[in-house]
Amino acid sequence: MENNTSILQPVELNSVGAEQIQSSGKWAKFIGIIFVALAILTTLLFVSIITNIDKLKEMITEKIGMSDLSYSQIESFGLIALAILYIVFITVFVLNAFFLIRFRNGSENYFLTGNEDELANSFNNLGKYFKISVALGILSTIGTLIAVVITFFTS
Amino acid sequence: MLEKEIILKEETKKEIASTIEWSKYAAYISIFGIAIGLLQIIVGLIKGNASIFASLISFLISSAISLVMSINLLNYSKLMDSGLNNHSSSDLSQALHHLKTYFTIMGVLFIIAISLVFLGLIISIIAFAIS
Repeated sequence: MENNTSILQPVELNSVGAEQIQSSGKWAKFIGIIFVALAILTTLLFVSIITNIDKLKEMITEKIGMSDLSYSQIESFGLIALAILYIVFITVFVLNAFFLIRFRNGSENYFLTGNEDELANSFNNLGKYFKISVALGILSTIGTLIAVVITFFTS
Repeated sequence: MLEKEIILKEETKKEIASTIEWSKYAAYISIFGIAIGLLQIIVGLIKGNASIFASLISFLISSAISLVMSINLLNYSKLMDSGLNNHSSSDLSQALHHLKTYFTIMGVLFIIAISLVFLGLIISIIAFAIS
């Protein structure tokens, strides 16, 4: 019964709500641009590590006193770990930026053209952004939980 | 600012409903994360961790921010749900106000973080120049 009423009765968004969406969109776009900048910085950092790998090797072997053999043994593992970390960070930054900027563009296009598909698309991207936040939250919580268990049983 | 009210189509309501669900999950995960962080602090205290005071301060600040953001997400979820089910444009506006607050807090945090990074960079350059 309630569902039938829900279909028949329109849901209205007033001008205050519309303004809140526009304002949210502006902040979302700003955050998206910051994520793009972070992705670029992460790439520059990764490239500078890869290009200066020999200097890094000298520094590690001299300052820590590690032998060339020991360094060679951990080098490939370290590079793989670094590459995985880079891919994870870039994916998170780029996807977040993509969905947040599309959320803003969708809402802005809607208010410019009046095409409601744009508004639906805007909320679709917001939903995807929240899905990524949930996935990251779960990963982060699992990581912290593992750290707690390790601290409790080892130190 | 729009002068007329917008009647939402079913497709838009479906997409909004998806954000209601996922924003709620994001808020719950964040609150659960705070609880796990508290557990980490307690374990640190039991084990006599040397840097526990710094960890505690950092935990209190980050938890307070996470909690405020989670409450805004939960309010968005609750009011948006109520707005769609009860056809209340006032609830929809309030829900969107909480969404705006959530993004504003995040944006301001990013601005503070960027400012701190630049400040650190300037201090490092000055320190390097002096030495």
